[in-house]
Amino acid sequence: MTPGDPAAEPPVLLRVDGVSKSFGGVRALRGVHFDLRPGEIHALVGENGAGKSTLMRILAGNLRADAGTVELDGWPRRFATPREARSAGISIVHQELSLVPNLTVAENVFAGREPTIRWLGFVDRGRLHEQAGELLRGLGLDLRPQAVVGETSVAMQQMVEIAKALSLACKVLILDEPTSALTGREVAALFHVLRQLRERGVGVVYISHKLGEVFEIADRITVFRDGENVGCVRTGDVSTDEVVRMMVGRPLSNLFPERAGDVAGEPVLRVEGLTRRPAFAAASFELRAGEIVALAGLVGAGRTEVARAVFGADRPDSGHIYLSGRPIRIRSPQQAIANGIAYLPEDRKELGLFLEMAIRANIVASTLKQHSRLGFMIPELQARTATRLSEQLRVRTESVASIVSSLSGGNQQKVLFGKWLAMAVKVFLVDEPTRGIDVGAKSEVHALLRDLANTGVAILMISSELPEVIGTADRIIVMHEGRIAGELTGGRMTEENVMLLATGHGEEVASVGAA
Amino acid sequence: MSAPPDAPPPAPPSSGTSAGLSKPILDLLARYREIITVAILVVGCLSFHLLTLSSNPDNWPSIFANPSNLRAMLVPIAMDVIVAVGMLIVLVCGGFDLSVGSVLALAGLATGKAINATGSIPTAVLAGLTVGLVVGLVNGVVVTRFGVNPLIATLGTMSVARGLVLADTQAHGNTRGFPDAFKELAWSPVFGLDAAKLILGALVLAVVGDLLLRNSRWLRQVYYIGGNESAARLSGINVPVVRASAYMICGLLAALAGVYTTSRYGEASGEAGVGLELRIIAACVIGGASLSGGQGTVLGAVLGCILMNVIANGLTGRGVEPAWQQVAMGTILIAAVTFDTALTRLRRTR
Repeated sequence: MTPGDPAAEPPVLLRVDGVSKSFGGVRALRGVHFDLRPGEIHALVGENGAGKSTLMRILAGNLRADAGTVELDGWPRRFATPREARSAGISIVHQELSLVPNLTVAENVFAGREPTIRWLGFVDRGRLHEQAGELLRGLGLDLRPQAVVGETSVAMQQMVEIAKALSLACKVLILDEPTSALTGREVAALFHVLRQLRERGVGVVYISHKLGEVFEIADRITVFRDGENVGCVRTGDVSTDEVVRMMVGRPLSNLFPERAGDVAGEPVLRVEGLTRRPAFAAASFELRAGEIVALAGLVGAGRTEVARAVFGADRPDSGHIYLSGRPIRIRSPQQAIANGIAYLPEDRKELGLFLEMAIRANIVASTLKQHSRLGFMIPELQARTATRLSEQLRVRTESVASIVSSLSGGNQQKVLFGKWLAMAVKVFLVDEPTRGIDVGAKSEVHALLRDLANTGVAILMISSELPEVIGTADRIIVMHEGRIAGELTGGRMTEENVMLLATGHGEEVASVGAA
Repeated sequence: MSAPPDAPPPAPPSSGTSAGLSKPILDLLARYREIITVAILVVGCLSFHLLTLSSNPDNWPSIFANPSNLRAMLVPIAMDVIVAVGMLIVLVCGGFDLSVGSVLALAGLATGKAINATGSIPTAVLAGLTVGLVVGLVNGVVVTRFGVNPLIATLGTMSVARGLVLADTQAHGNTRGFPDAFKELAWSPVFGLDAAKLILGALVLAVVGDLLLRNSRWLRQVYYIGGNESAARLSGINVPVVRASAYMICGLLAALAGVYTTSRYGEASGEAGVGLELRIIAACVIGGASLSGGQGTVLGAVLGCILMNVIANGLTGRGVEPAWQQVAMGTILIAAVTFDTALTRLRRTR
């Protein structure tokens, strides 16, 4: 085998073989394979919950695999800590950046490894800035090493993370959704840097939802679905459609509950010109009784912020909200709840549940008054509601006195739904209702949403999972950079159209619709 | 020596099941955390009794367990309980109140000044309680409205209130010379016990407080806020108002203790209530409250107060210096919290 021989397989930098990982009863990875060559940009795509992040966390030393091997440069490795992974040459840049905002670029790049003046142990600022400057110029970045990180743009902060990884002599660079907070021009700058890294022989794992970008930058694409590798393809050999089909896998019709047909009734909630800068502006839409409207868009498009403003969790700058035709003012969640508006937050552990409290206490949390008489809580009333709802929602537990943190993710999500079903909901804002729960629980949640709609509830569902959006919604509103980019109904509700609107290419949707 | 190839593998050691506490017991302890405090209390009382056995008729049956010593313990326990009920509510809410000792002193001073100026007992008591409510309101507003960390906010009011008291006592000396009717408030005996009002009052407060915290709608909200503040807000609980009310209850009860102190000792001293805050917080934590909020009961806090006083009294009876008593208290506090943490971790892994 000689160098330059076209038949020779290029050497493999990183090889993942048969890696499995379970959390509680949920199998996040089932014996996956993955390989990365030096000087390659290898994209990893898949729906939320497909197992991409789990694999990356294993590679970065944040998690330990239950089974399988990881080889780096042909040597089997097992990283117990992120530190071990880094010193072996694997660096990861997370969606949430891990920089210290008050320190300078140079201090962040060399955090904990600053060059010091011998004998004294003081940081040698001259050499620190010199080395950092060299590194930044090498990446073609116009960034002063002395700049304070918190005062630079998100895109620059990302570059600082990459520079930090390179300063650690990284051979494998993992980028997790690197462009979710970047503008078009910043993405181009990032890609420029990535191409330079490719020249230098660094292997890049590029995780993204944005297939357009993936096709632009990646050499190969690996698709994960439900914790399995369903295929690895060369970017030139496939179309976007084929990759989407690999991601989704099965026909959608089997997965989602039947729509009841045209059942949408009276308008229940109307929002006009709702604005809260800088998150979103001039949002206007209407929800009718009995319909599920999906609010789609990329992460950071302002969807959650719209829902929070309608629910009174954040105060909007301007705009009007009408409930059944009457204008209402909602200044707090209490007022929203009094008007029959409920909000299921996306982060159930941080924003939704009282993890160390009983299922019963969680279910009555938003209806304390309803379960009390003369200012005193009535245990029988609470137990009755909690039992009824946990049976209706099929929460798998021994008793409603069980502590919520002992339940699986899907069952926790059902408890969170129970909290809102305890009251008479007219408008239900659900934010990523199936995030982080397994496939079975997902279908139960979808069926539940449809059942609720059938009883006349108006549902606004925020979701980043396109199959879920297409499969459950009667209508899709798409947001792009804080504005409503368009609405899709009927046959125009396709993943491609949603993505076009979400990425700011609404004009192309119109032509598709007309064709 | 070689075993046949198809011999069954040796049975794994059954360490997980037989050793340690079983899950039902762990669950019981977590649910009724007070059991642990009661157990320590019983062991403590028994040991102090046995260690100080005495045949002297004045101290029969022991220096610790003789009636007059037990009676002497009731007053400090009752005082601590009054303050601890308020503190516990703030702790469950995920807060913290360092100002209780200074509030006790400032409210006591206000009461003393008012009784000397007006001669009216209701006015004086009202003045004292108002001071407590106002400081509690300030604490609540600074914490909820301005978002200042409770530790800092109440450290500030603690210092301000103490400073006001000391400024007055340094200028005019301790406030005293009250009419007898005012002193009667604390001293008039019931059932032959001079502190009966205080003890009965503390008992009623503990029972009512425990019931209210467990069952009243308003105070139940405190557990939700302490458990997960963001979720409480998104569940429609008025977090700022409930939280501020917790600080006001705490201030009011500290002030009540201050009014009583002034009446009982016949003077408002600049040193009243110094160090009270840490003792009360320690008692609440020993009784099962968590500094991160969401956990704790009034019953537990009361037991914690009793335990702290029993230990102080018992060690004094054994002739242990106050300095070493502090060492013992600190050790018990750390042991109690370590135990709680270990219990939680054990339950997680089972």
